[in-house]
Amino acid sequence: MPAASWSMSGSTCTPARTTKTRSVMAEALVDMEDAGILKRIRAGDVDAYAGLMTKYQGRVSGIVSGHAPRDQVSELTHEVFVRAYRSLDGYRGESPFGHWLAKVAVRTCHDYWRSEYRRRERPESELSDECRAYVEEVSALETSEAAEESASRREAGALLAWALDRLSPTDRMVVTLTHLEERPVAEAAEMLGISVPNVKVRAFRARKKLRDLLGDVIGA
Amino acid sequence: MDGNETRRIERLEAVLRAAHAGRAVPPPDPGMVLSVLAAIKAEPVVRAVDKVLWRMAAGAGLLAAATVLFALTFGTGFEDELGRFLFCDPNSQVLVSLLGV
Repeated sequence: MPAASWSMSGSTCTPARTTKTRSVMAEALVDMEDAGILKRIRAGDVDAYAGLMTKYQGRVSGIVSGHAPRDQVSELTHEVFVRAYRSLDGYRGESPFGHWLAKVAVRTCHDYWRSEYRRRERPESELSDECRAYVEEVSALETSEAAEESASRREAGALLAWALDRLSPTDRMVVTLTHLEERPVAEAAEMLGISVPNVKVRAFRARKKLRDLLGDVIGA
Repeated sequence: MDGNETRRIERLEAVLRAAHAGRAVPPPDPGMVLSVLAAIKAEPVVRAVDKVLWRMAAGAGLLAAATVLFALTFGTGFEDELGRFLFCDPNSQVLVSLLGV
């Protein structure tokens, strides 16, 4: 009998079932802890919110740093928590609080780029000569794995920022979620609050534009 | 674009993904919790004002809609003229009478 069906059969307590049960119980306990804090906040204890912020600050910072410039991460993380507090009435507890907070974080970053693009007056930055040389060097490597090893270089970050800067705010968010982070389309759609077909179309077009940009750089 | 160029672009895409995955996350700001709490505590006055303004706007909208409905239902024939104009007015007679020409 295959291991998978063995671990799922009957009500016998198997190692796999025990581990799964433990993780589900741990998650439930965590959710109960969040629910307890939320109850206190709704009863008027604003300071109880500090518990949630301390717990989720790292996670929110991680999400924000994936979508916003490094020098804006602290300010945007602050804004995410303020917005989340203001919208607490809208949190019904149907999903874990962390998931809901992640949505708030992604939408705050989306809003940041929309306002940034609206008041942007400076011309788009050009790719430096060092970056162009790096692109030539990397694209000539034998495998993608070898290319990925060079991604820690400063030029890789500059190339990423340059390419994303040329997409619209929504396309930028969609391509980051679906292409760079490889999240499912449905999850990206839920995080951004837009429809699945819209995300599909945007992901396709934005990725094509990204590839065209990279093609232009290497002279393809 | 030939196969070689496609592969070169794919390598660059892999670099972008790796650069995104390896991005540096700044250390947590120790003062953030207190600053967020301060911002939240300073906020309730603004929220109350916002709510009052929204209620006033909603009330004004309802009043305007009710006035229009009342005028159309118990008006002095204007609704009939408008209805005929919208339904059929080949010679623009209703339009002329509405304009008072």
